[in-house]
Amino acid sequence: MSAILHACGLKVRFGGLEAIGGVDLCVRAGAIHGLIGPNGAGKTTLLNALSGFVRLAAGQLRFNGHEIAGRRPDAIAALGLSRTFQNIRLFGAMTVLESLLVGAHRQFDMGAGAIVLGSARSKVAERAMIGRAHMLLDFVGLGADTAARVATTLSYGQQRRVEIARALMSSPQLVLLDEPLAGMNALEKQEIATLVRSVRAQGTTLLLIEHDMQIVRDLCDHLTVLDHGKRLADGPPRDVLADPAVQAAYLGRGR
Amino acid sequence: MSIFTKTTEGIGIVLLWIALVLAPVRAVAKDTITIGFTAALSGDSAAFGLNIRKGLELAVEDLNRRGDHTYRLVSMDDRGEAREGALIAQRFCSDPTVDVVMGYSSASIALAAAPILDGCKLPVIASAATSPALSNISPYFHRNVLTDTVQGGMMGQYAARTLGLSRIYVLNQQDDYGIGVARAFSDGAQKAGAQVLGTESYLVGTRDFRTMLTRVRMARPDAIFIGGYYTEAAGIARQARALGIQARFLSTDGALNTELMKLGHGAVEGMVLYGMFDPSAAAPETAQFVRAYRAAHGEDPGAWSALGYDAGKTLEAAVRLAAQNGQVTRESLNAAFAQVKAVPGATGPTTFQPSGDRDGVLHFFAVDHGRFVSLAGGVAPLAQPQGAYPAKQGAGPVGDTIAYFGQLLANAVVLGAIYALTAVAFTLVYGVVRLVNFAFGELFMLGAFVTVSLMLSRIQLVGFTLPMPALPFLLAALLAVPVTAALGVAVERIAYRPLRRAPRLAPLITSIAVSILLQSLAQTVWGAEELRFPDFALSSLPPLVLFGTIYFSVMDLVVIGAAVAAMLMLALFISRSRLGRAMRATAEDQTAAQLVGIPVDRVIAAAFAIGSGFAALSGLLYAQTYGFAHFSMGFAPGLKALIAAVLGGIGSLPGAALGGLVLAVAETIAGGVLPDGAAWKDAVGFVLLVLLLLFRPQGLLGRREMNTAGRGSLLDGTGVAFGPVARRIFARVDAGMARIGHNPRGLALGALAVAVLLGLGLSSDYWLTCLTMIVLYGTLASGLNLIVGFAGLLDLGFVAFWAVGSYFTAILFVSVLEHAMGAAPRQIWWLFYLDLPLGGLLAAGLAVLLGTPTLRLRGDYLAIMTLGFGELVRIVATNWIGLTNGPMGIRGIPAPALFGMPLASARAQFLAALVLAIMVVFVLTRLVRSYIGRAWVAIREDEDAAAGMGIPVARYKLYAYATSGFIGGITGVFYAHTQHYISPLNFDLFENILLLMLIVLGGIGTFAGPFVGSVIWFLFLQFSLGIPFVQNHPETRFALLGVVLILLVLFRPQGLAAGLRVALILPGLGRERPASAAPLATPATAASTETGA
Repeated sequence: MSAILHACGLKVRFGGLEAIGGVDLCVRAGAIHGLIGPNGAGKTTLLNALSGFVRLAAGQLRFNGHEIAGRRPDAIAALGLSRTFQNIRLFGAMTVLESLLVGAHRQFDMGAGAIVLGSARSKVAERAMIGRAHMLLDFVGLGADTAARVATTLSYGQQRRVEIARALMSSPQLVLLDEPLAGMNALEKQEIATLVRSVRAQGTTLLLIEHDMQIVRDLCDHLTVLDHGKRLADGPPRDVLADPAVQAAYLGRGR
Repeated sequence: MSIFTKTTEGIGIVLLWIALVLAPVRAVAKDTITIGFTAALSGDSAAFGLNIRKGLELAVEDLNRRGDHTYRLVSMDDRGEAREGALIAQRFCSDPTVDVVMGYSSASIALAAAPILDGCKLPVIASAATSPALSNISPYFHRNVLTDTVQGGMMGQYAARTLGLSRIYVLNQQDDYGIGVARAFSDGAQKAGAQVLGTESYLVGTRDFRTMLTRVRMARPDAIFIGGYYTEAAGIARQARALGIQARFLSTDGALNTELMKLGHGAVEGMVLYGMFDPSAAAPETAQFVRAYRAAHGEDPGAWSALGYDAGKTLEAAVRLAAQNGQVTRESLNAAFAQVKAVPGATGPTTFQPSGDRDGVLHFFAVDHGRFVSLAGGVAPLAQPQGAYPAKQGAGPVGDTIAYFGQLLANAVVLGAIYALTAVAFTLVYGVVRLVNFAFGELFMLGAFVTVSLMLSRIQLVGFTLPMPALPFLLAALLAVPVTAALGVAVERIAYRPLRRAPRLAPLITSIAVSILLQSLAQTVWGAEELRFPDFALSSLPPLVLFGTIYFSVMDLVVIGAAVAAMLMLALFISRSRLGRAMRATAEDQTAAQLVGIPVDRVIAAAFAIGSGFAALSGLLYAQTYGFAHFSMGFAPGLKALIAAVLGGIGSLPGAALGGLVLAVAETIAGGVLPDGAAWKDAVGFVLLVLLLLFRPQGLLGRREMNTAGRGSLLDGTGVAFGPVARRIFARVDAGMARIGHNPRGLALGALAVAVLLGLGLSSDYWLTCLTMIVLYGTLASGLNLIVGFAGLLDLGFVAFWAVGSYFTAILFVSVLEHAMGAAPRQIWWLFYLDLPLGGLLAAGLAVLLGTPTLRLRGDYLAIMTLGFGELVRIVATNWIGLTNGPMGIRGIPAPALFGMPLASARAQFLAALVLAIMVVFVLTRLVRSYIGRAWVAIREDEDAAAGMGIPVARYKLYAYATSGFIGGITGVFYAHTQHYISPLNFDLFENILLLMLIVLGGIGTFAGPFVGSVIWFLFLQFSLGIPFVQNHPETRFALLGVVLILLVLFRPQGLAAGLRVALILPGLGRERPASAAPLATPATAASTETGA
């Protein structure tokens, strides 16, 4: 399998602090790639750097054959990299269906004139995307009745699913999930894990941050461990989790 | 369908009820003569109109005592706005009981109203509109005041011949009045052999003239002509004397008011003025009027009261004449005005020329021991001003330049101290609460008023005379600071604290509402005129002179000392005290501060107390420096403080101090170096602001983090919980809205049907014009709503787009085609339809130009920068006279026409406006209900998440600016052609705030909201004009508006029509079901086809 995302020597600085200090990362196409590490290790920062939300101080970053270091988040998203956020960020005052359509923003390409005149083509495009949104709602396990509800009034678990569905609307090649299982009970975690697997089954690569080692071990094909902004280990879950350095980092014995 | 009919029915019933209540026909006895009186009765220039009315009221009382006819006075406040003046003219036209119109305190309003009154053959006697453009404007228009050209010219000759002055410097206020008299004066004086050394113009409302006067001093004139009103004339005289200028002052009838001596503090001694009224004249009518006026008001009358009185007397003569020949009608009355000869009055006999102007005598006066003394007996009583100019010997050009810049710098330091103090207070509150407190300028104003009130021995409050303690300055100031601080805390408690979890615009709107409320209340309590700052020992000392050339006063040093001491104390307090530390912690992170046990509410209250106390201190120092307190005095310094705080980096105390100083130095130096600098100096701050935000958005000493995204949703959030009754009422409103909201098409068609029915059915031109205004303001507000309500960008400069559209078509039609090329508007009617999109595109282009630098800015910074842009456009429109005709505005913009058939009637214009509104709303709804609108709303709600969805945020913001600008532009073009007259006054900051309030009132981010807000506001304005109490205190309308807005935002932050949630998908499309089974395999798109190696 070829690498869909290849990062080399990534560095991120906040003022004098080096949050990410030269991390290499290689995500293979079709993988479920886990990103783990203790609190403050720089996992979310790395995700933000990959998706263009944080400026890189140094390093190369190739996604799907494009050099994307220094590009804006929207340009990176347009290339097929989609993401969710650690603290759910749904659009207030929008219904679930509308939120999902925002996720499909790049799929629309008709001009303002066509929209104002209500051209057949623009209606076809809207219909297609609305159809897709309903499909995805079904796919992430939300009932048809949720489509018309204001997204921020849903339960926490439902909001997570809406966010995942929104990220999938653009038919991305790589989805970054920032702690998709946070705050869920065991049953919900299993449901989301199943969802992640079926996303992968459709041919989409996933990179996710997670703390639950049991889930990570079962779900991921490959793990990268971060600690203090450095890559501590990288490899198949079984090897990585057996690594004494990783265990030390998690148990807080220092290095 | 049933909902549709029900809605229409409901709206119809409401409108019918309104029409019945409003029907302007009232039973009035047949021999009653009704005088429609209109003038600016609130706002900055209210004094003229109020004085005319005082005189007219005396005349009416007198006439009613004598009694062949009963005279009735209906008074309407035009607020100095041409739009309002035109509406009032329509209202008088449509009210058959009105027989004659009087008042008009400004020519621009008379110019807008005269064609309307001509259309309904309603005679007019104007008493303070002096522009020569009004001569021959209509056979129904008369005035009993001489024109600027005549008066200014006579004054010029008088100055040169009789007073023997040869080196004269001419100053004028930047408006039609000031420019008119100054030109006439210069011509007259030069013809009579005097030399005009130079001219400078200043904006009405300017307080600081030192920069301009430093330039005047370089020319060493022996006289200075001030072509302006008494407030500015008094300020110029005081500041000129303080700079050691020994020239004689000359001024106008606009300055001929006893207020001049109150505000001038002795510096106006020896000033020579002209006017039409000499209270010492021997005529019995004059003596009778003076007696009556003294009895009624306990003070001497001014010229404007006398002219108002004479207008009443002239009316009586005309009524008698008309009654001899039969029925008194508008027509017969107008004929009688042309026939009456030499009607005796307080200002001498009145006879109208065929042009509508009056034959009259001009009197000359000098200020002598605080009184106007007639110069009819010669110039002998004039006391020559003593002293001489600073020594010139050996100075040379280099010495002169050093002296010039030295003086400018000295001026800048005093101004800078006040700016810095104000900015520090502003930034303290902002840093802790993150609220741009627009009410700040009003606390500044109240600090000054409280101090002045305490220093007096008695004072007139709300018209009652109250004894006051007459405290010394220091004690009064020490009391005023805590009083204002307590008020600031109360404002925070009532209007801001309940909104901590409210939608993000809510506190900003309440702060604007508090500002409007306090300003209006201050006008009710302390009156419309300036209140003189009492003299005291320190302020009466002679000026200090440095190196023989640099003048400053002892009080200047006190101001600088007090400002520096206060700022140092604050810095110490913030860095050393427990409360100061708590404040810093709260500023960093409110939640965290709360968690570590800091009583955040109390800390914020303390920040407001200190901020308000500082505002009061700077306000009272400001009032002392410029010699008066006035209800609107806080507005300009408040804006300056905002700029200074942003320059320094908002939230940074040393930054604010530095920003204040930098702003003052930049303004002063630019004002002293640029040609016509005094008129342009207010633009300097805004230019500086724009440049700084472009290159260093965090300000000089600020931190980057302050430029963060707006917190929270624009719509989601909570205000104060309802009481049971209100809850029930709003539950009903919401249920109704939700029901209507299910059928948006029904709602739109219903509203449209009602509008068309009204347009075809209403017979009153007045109500049709009102409806046109409602529709146009609704359309404008829709344009603003697009950018604020949908894209979430708080734009306070939207009026600029409106102005560009209006000016574009006005300049093209009037200045270029009609004047330069001699084309007749009838032949080029089609150009109007071309102008609509062109004006829209021009405004859209400007919007993109203005929008680009703001892309890096977020939240409040954006609001401040757009405010700067809006004000810049207005200042350019005011000062670039060659292009825009400046404050005189552009007249004679033709009505739109179709194939040569003019759409001039009120009905045609309303229907045309309706068509425009329908097109705008249609385009808006289509855009919003597409991926474009969803992108806007996504950006509004969460910019980062939107970018994560692949939305190019910057580009979509520019789309929003462009679309909003386009709507502003085309509406502007249309507006110009319906108003026929535009001037920079149409496009001030208040209009932008008004549009914003319409949206908030109606429902932000909804399609109906702007129109709902517009209907409520205009009906409220017109209804309230009929209430006698409001007629006497027009500013209470705005006080009420403030209260209503505060309550609305507190209890219902989303606006009245908030129940109408806007769907972002076209109706009918939302129920699509999936066709294919494979969920993730989608048709190839631009993004997904780019598969890499």
